[in-house]
Amino acid sequence: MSFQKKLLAFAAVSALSAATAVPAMALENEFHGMFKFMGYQTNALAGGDTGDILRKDAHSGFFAEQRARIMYIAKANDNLKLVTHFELDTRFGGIANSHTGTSSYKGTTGNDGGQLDADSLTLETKNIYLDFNEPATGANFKVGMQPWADAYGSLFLLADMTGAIGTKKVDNFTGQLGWFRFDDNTLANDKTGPGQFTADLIVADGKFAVNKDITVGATYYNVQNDTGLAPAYELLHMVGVNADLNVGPANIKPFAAYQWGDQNSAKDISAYMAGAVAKVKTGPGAVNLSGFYLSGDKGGTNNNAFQTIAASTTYFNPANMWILVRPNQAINTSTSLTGNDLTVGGRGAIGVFGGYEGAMGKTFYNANVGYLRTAEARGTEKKSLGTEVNAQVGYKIYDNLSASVAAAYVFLGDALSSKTTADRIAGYAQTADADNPYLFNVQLSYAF
Amino acid sequence: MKRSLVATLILLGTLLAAAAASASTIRAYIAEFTVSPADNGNLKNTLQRLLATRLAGDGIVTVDTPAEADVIVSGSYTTLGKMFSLDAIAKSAAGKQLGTAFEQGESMDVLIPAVGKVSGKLKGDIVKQFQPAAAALPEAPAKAPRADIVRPSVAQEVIKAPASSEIVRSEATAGWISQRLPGVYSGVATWGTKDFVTADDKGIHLYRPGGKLDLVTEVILPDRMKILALDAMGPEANGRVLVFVTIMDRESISSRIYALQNDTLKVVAEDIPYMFRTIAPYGGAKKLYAQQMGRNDDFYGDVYEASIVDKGVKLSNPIKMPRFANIFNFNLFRDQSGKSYLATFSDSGYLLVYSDTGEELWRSSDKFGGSETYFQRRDWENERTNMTPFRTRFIEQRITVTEKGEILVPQNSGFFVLGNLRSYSKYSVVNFAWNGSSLEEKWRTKQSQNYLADYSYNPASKELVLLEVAQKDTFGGKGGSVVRLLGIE
Repeated sequence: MSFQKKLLAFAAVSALSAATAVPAMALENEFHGMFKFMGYQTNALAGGDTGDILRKDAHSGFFAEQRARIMYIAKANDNLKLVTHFELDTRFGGIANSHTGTSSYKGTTGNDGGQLDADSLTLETKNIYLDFNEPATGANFKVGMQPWADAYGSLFLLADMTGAIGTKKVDNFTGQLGWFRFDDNTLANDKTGPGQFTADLIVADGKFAVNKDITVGATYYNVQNDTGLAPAYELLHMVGVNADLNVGPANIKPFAAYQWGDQNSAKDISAYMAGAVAKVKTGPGAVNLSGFYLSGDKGGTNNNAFQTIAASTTYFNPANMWILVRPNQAINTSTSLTGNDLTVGGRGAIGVFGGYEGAMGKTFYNANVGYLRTAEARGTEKKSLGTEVNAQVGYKIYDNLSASVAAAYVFLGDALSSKTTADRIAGYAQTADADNPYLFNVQLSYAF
Repeated sequence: MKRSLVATLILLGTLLAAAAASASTIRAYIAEFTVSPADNGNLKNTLQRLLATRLAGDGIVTVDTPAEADVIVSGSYTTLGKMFSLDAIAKSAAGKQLGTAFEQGESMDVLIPAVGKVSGKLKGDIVKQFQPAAAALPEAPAKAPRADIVRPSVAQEVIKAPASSEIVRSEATAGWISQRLPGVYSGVATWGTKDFVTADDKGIHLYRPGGKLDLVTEVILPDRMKILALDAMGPEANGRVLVFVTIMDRESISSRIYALQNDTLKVVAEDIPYMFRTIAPYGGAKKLYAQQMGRNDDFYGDVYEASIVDKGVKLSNPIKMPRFANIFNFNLFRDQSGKSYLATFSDSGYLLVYSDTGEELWRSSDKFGGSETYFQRRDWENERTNMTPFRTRFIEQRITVTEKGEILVPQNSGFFVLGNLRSYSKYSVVNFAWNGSSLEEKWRTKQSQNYLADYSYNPASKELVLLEVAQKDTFGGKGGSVVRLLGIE
């Protein structure tokens, strides 16, 4: 190396050291993220959210998809941070916008980069909110587009919404008060003025830790829907109680809630739900048990059907199902036998699920069985929707990277597969004598 | 070519100017004068101030602390009978004498002129004799200290002058190092003897250092159990040592206590719903502490002093944990007036000091601690948001208070810490002392190119047992660990 080059190199290194020696800025950057690859060989899914495909002689095929999430948190200090969370979904090969007259599940081709030469607008915004502790009261506030989950296994609502929520902890009591506006149908610059066609959710939640093994909670949710878009209901109140208990080797989370309100000016709502999730240490692993009851009606003058905000924002992850109930591991394609509508169009539902999970070193496994039926039959409809068996085996390649394979098979109930039209539930059953749906899943999951 | 030459000249010019600027200023610290016999009317401070103002100038600036000085001037004022003598000596930071001066007289009236004369002579000597530290030390480097501890004030002395070579040689690493142990270890505990127990993902292992590290005995735990922490108390009068193993068994705490006697480990109690940690609060006797895990809170309620009675755990003297503190990451120390403080790490890794009323008093600018040991709890309410069924919680490093009341903390750093993915690659152990308002770093060990999983301080031998991970367990590999024993005095 010539002297001149050496000198230049030295000068460059000095400049770099000077740049990096600048004192740490007050702002701290925190990154989280995930990447998941899913491959499916199935006769029930085609890379869409609408619902499982239930056909006679259903075709089996393979498709693959991926999801990445990037979370960036700008942390000013321990009491103030801005949380941003983005999502990038892609089906391998892209998603057809329109093929044989069917439109894609994302609506535009511009939202998926899986086609030839990739370049597409793929970035979706999930969350942007400010998370801060108010120094005078010590209360925590989250303001903005944020995730929220109910205390009822997400059977009512789990969604990203715009709103504000305050949380205050006093000894063993944690109280929460929140407001979310999940729909504002007022046109921009509309002369009607702001806030006229809106849907709001108000949340009051209290949790009390009696001791380390017992936490009890009570909630009140209120939904007022004035969007004028023929909502499922205009006013809904929901009160509920829940608990989280350790009893010997078992952890049990029971919950129950009652709903009342106005479907419209002429029709009232009176509905309830109950459920429980349990995990019992057994052998080298644990037994998982869960179940729920959502009230329904026969479609008469009374509305006794359990209400949600939207079917697309309900889950029941503890079920550990792949087809009966949407899987907790699902990414872009996230649907179920009833298109995620666990209320089955107001009929209500009863689901019971059981399974065993465990790990041997870096290998993990689980096997589950579940049964789902409607609570009420309308007309001559049958109640049985199906019985699922599934199993999954995985390997932790690194602490945060795991690979797994899973298989699931559903024995369809008469309500979805009967040869007799009167037995089947219209709108959910698609054809007579539909094939039993199944899927094989291969997955690569990385989260940090 | 012309352009690059001009650029080179500009860069060279800038560098030379910077070098010249720094070389032309000598930073001098004037120490407090010693006055004998007894100080008369705060003479020592007056003389210090007088000398400082007179010495400043002509390329010398005075500074407030010896740490930032190139030259340290110490002086004395002695009276014998009617005569006084004013003596001063200037030394480089490395201890080399640069000049001396004295003046004597009979009355206080001539004292001020005497200070002027002394300063004038010293100034001349300092400017003439002083050479920048690097150039002044071509001689043999100072002998490596017993432990490879880097003390801030001495640091300059052990950096070799880059006189003729571009190779910077490091001193050989001090301390005793074990052979490579296969597997990634996560915990270590000592109890005052040479033996120690370690934990990995298989179980706990008792080792005895000699020529090499000998495995004395071990206990293999069921696969589903994950060891979160390892601590030991004893030995009791009969030589029995109690080993506390904090275990997470399928999302709940199911700890075990083993008795170590005659080189065998026996279970005393198991399936205990407490997390354990032994610490020596205020640098005193080691005590056992316990905390519970709640359904919603990972660390539920207060931390209690614990004792083992009839195989059961008896709790007493609860300590309220301030924000961020839990059983694994706290310790207590006192200042000179006896006031109690609590030290802990924040979630982001800053070292914090709380008053006894729970008020945060100080936090470090750098991050300390840092651990790759974690536990996970099922969090199905947030699974869709987090895209992982688990919530991950890292267990912070121990904070040790030495018998001097000083604080020892490790500092893992390097490579990356990203979200819940942590991979540290180097560490130092840092010693702090509380000066009434902040923790002041006194020394740190030489940086090691490994991740420090855990450590234990043995106050009897003033020795650190450092459990280092030399190689992480990557796909197909088991990884490797080493134990280093390092005296710190």
